[in-house]
Amino acid sequence: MRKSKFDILIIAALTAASVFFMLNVSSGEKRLYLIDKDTKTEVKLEDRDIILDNGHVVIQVTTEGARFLESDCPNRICIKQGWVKNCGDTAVCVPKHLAIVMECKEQDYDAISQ
Amino acid sequence: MPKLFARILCCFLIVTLYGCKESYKTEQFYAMGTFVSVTVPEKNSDIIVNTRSRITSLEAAVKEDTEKFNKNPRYKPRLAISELISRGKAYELITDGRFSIYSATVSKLYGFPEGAYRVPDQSEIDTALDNISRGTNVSLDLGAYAKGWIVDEAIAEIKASGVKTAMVNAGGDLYALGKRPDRDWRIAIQDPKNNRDYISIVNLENMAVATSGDYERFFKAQDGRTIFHIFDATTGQNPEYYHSVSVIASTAEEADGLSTAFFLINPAEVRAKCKKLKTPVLLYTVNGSIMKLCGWEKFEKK
Amino acid sequence: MTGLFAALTVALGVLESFIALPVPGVRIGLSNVGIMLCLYLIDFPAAMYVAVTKAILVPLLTGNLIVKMSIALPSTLAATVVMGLSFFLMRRFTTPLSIGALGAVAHICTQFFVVKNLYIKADAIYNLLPYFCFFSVLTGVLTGYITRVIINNIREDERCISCFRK
Repeated sequence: MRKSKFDILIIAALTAASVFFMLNVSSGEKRLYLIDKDTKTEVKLEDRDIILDNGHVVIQVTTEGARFLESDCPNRICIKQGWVKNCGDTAVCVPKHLAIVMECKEQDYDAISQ
Repeated sequence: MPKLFARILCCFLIVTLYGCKESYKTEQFYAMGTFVSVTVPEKNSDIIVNTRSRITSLEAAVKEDTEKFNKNPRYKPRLAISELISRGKAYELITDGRFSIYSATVSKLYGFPEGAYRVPDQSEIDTALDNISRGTNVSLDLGAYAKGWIVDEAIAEIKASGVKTAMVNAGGDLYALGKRPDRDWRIAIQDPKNNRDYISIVNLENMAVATSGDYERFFKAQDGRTIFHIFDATTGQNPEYYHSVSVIASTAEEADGLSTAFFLINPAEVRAKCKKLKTPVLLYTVNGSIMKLCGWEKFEKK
Repeated sequence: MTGLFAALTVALGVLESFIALPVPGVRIGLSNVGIMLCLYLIDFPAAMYVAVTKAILVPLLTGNLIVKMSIALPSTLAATVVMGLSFFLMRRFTTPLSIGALGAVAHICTQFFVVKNLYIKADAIYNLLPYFCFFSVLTGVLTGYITRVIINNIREDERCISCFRK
């Protein structure tokens, strides 16, 4: 099988595409959001725990970010995803249809009148 | 090899774009009871020092003359300040006397600006209102539009030194001089209910905008009412139409003064007055609705 | 013969649910080896058959039935279709390595699409897609490599090939 050139091309293209999107992170003002199925609510960055699903899921929030602290979903992937701190960080718990995400938006104004 | 070239080009582009964005210098300092920020092109950043000292000396002049006047009503303020005082008449006319340069006579009964806050008896308020209408035993306070005037003076100074583009922002009362390299200055109007959100963004070139809000300075009375710093000089009470009023005008003084004046009159009156004055207005009413009057929308378009 | 591959695929699928990788949420996708073997040695319909069987049986055997199956079925099918297409279009230029990688990427993309539309209705979850996509390329190449080794070994024995083609 001497077809490896084309192979390498395809694999390189796929890797490049994923790396490109990985590096394509936003910057700007951070906002933490909690997504529960189709509702998205902003979460203030302050030290507290959010208890959901009758105590089966605990999300720890700090001034820096948030993480899934406890969850009784089978693989505990959401816990292993760790802290959501930087722009674009996301932790997802599919069985509980929950996600926490740090979204960043560049200021699109020069000053605020208040 | 072309890949490498593309990468270098990309880096170069990012650096230049970033450079464009950062070509202004902003300095923030505390003055006039709020944070003042002066933004000028990086290459002109040395004028910030002058601008800052101009602002603080004007602030001192206003403070000194109002204090002297309040101690001795026969005191003759310096020319610039007496001119400033006389401009208050315009706002008094617009509001049928609900705006007054003497409204501090009432607001100080409540403890504004520094506290301790309290709700005065009706008799105290009545005496103060009486004094305002007769012009005796009054407290002069130019706070409603002096800040805007100082911004205008600072901008005049920047302009005189040949700078074409700058912004002076005194706690949300600001003037945008010229344009950014690629666009107008973009100013967000804060959402009174959430200080991280905004209700409108306007594009300004050689224009000023100012906002008055009931969320800036306030206290909670014992009966649960929230009492804020703007008072109707005919009733001695807070006006109850809006959470915030923003005005775009050709000078920061006018924007500043009108935002306070319009706070005191109902939306129909605001509509009539801003039409005459040709000043766009954004009203955020107490029931949460947003009204854009006299061409405000035109400034929102990019 | 297809039944044998189906059994192999399901067994691999169950087996790998016990293999934990250091990266959360990433699995090797070993069962894809079975599907790819089918594609190479038998035909596309057989591969589809194996894929459907795998997508239904593996969740059944590893628990959390409805959620897993609703995600696994569309994504396994999509991966198989993509692999089948690339097999027919590019068989002459490629080896199982790139087909495995394409299949794995198709698999993860469909998973995200399903999760986005059924479970967490926010674009934000696509933030994670590039990371998973990256790892899926790696695991796809790995499963592709395993498949290639197996096929090469089988092809050395002419009798073996003929028995598959019956």
